[in-house]
Amino acid sequence: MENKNESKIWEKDEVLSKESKKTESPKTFETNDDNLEKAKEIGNEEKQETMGKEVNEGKIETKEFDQLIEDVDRFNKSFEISKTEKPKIFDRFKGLLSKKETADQRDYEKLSQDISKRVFEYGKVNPDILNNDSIKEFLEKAKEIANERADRVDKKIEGLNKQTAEEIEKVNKERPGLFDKISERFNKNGLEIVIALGLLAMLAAMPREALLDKIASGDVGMQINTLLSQLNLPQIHSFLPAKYANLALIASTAAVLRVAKSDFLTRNIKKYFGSNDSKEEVTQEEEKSKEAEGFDVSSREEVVKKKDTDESFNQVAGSAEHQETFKKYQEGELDSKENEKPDDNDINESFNQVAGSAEYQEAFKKYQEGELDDEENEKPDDNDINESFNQVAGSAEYQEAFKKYQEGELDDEKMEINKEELEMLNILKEMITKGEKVEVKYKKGLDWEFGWYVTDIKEEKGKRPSVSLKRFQGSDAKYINVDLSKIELAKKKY
Amino acid sequence: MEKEIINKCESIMEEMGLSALDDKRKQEIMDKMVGLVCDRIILKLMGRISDVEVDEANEIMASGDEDRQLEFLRIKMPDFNEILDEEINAVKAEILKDL
Repeated sequence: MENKNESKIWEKDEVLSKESKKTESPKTFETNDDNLEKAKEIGNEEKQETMGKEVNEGKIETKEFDQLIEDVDRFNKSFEISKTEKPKIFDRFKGLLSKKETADQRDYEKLSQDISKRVFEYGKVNPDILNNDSIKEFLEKAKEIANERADRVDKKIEGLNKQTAEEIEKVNKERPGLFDKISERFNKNGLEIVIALGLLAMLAAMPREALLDKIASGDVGMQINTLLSQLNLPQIHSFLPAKYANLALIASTAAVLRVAKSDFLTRNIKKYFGSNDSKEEVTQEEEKSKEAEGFDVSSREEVVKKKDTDESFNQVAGSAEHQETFKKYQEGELDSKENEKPDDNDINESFNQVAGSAEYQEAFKKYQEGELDDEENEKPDDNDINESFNQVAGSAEYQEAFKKYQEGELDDEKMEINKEELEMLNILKEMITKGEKVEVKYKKGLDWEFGWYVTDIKEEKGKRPSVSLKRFQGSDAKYINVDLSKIELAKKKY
Repeated sequence: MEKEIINKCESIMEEMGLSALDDKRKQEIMDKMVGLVCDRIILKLMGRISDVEVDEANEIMASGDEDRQLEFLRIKMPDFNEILDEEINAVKAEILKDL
């Protein structure tokens, strides 16, 4: 009943929100300007500065953003009112929320979460908004609301724990000690068992190609990082970047295997998930052979019934938390000790460059086709692929190759510039000469990242042109130098 | 925290309206939920052990022979993922009820 009502309310709100957007959209700039004027009147220098910056720099001037800010402002105002006059809070939300009836805490919490979602979705495209005063204020309030809700969740879990404890007590009376023994077995490995099982289940249900894509894009690497840190295993950072992209791929896969091998279940985990037939024997040789193939999990699809694994994975990958962690990961903040950088540029950036390079693509293709050359796929110790990878990654040969890669000396053929790149280069030069702001999208792994601006073009004889990019991150800006192949104009002109 | 159980807990966080929480608080709640789910899975497992198997189960679990433990668990719970799904969904539903 409650849920039905809520869902109706939300459907209605969405419609109203859309309508509101339709009617208000022509005034979007006026709104910002008005607010700026108001800020000036009030003398709120900080707000004035922020808003002026937004308007002037045109960074976040979309209609959606204006709408979002309006909703956020309304929410911020209503938040204070809600503490004393709950039933009236939604009057403040005119278009978005026209509910005139009683508004209870749950509606309010849901509203807070809905706007939070929009904030984070928008923040993915334009991280600057998270620095906006209204948004910051809103997020604080949203957190406060979520904390109140979390207290209620805690109490619920406490109640459920009590119930479970009663059941355990009952079972213990009937079968003294057994629950504790099993539990100890589970707990001895902490979450490892559950985690490893879940991990493998996910891998088993995910088509190999999709998994490899995830690994290549860094998503799985990121996920594994969190897992590894939970398991007190070395961060995958220490594996990266690899001598060759395919080795990075193997390393990521190896990390998965390593995790899978980290508890008592996992030595036989493939057997566990590999078949429902307990009589089936998977020999050590077969297992090793499978590992060498890059952990081909596709055959397990039949065994593990899995619902929306990709979806749930993507949910996490797309979640605010993940984005935050991933951002930290990209910025090298996750584990500075193990993330030592060969040069002052971001090592992960370099890895992404490798992952997106033609060389990588080729290697990746070969990898998928099982055509990896023996030398690269060879394991000095057939028991431990990680060991072998670490040896490679730490070797002088690797260091030399990576240095060369960074210096662009790996492949002479890549010095050439193709027609499309040349056209783009000319456009970039022209725009920069004219003093125009040149927004480009930057290829990070397999994804494109918007919001980068070209600050300079570097051309040296015998080398491919590179471009210097700038991106705003809050009050700071991030600078990178990338190869021309890594960018495209945000709005294509050729 | 990772993968299946964690992914699910994450989406539950959102369903529960807790996505705005800071990571530490989220982690606390997730840990509690994971613990609860674990206990409930073990209870399910216990339910699948017949009276005549109790001694054997005790002996295996106390033995330290990981291969045997694995084999025992695998036989008793070949549908681990389904059970995991069920328990997570049950916990989720119970938490959300009249929250």
